[in-house]
Amino acid sequence: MPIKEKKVYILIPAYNEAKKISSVITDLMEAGYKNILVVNDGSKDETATIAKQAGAEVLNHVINRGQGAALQTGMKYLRETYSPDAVVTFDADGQHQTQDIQAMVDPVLNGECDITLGSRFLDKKSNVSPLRKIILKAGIQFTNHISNIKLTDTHNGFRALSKKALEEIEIFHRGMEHASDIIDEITKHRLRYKEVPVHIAYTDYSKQKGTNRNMDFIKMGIKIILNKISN
Amino acid sequence: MLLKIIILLIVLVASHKVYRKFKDRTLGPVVSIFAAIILISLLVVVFEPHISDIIAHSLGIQRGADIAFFTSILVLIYLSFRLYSKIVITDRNLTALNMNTSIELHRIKKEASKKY
Repeated sequence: MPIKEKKVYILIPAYNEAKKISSVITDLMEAGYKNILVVNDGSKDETATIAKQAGAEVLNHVINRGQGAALQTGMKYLRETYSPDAVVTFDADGQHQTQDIQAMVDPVLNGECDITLGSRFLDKKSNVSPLRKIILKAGIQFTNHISNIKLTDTHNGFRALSKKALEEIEIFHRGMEHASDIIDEITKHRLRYKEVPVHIAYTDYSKQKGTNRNMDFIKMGIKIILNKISN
Repeated sequence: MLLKIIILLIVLVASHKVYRKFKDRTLGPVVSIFAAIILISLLVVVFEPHISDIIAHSLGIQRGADIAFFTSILVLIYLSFRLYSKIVITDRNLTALNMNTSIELHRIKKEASKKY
């Protein structure tokens, strides 16, 4: 099957993103990505209605469970309903750029690898602040050691999964720690992976959202260690 | 002396409760025996401290009171870890329930909108 005819789905986990979700979906649609699934993770605002109006298919979590849980729901639904050739996980806050999708998806669609992982540190396009860079680098070292892998960016939500990766990868953590689950699953199932440079646009809006407090990163690390021991 | 009487009363009430729960079969034999060992150990430490001293010496610890202290710390760590594991399992079950509910509801809505 030619690459152009392959089914590519964009999976967007969203929580209280009413301000930004419409422009994110519109950008994706204009770039030619019509298959968009938004998992509304129990938002208290109009995220679901706006996403639907913008043309996305919307799944609603009854209660807020975190980004990992939203991805888990979206992946399960896509796997069972559409059996896509590739799924791109994309942030709802406008940090990810639609022009990077092609470079993420191509290696997966042409069979070069099973999963591509976006990296902020393969080039210098992303405006990462010095403090955040230090914290992220520490997190990367931690994950690389604990998961026995070598990556330049471990907690980037921009990924493209092949059919095989979608079948194999299981997410256990419901919060931001899911990024470590995905990396563990890559090594566990011996999936072929490739890092692709992506541009993350940190805006005032995106900085307010997501994992930005330094304590969150420490909590994430403790949770990952405790769960590794208890499993 | 007052502390000894209070501890004795607590142990008696607790023993009575354990015995009743064992008879009602709300407590299994393993847990009941474990509870009995804990309560007897408590009485031994309070009323016959020299026995706990002997056990402590055999384990390389100087005082019997210290062995009670170390044991309680270990038991607390173990219990909090088991509690943490149970919370994690419950949390995962809740996430799975949330996931399946949202997918099922979405499918039902989709089917309904196709029909009408």
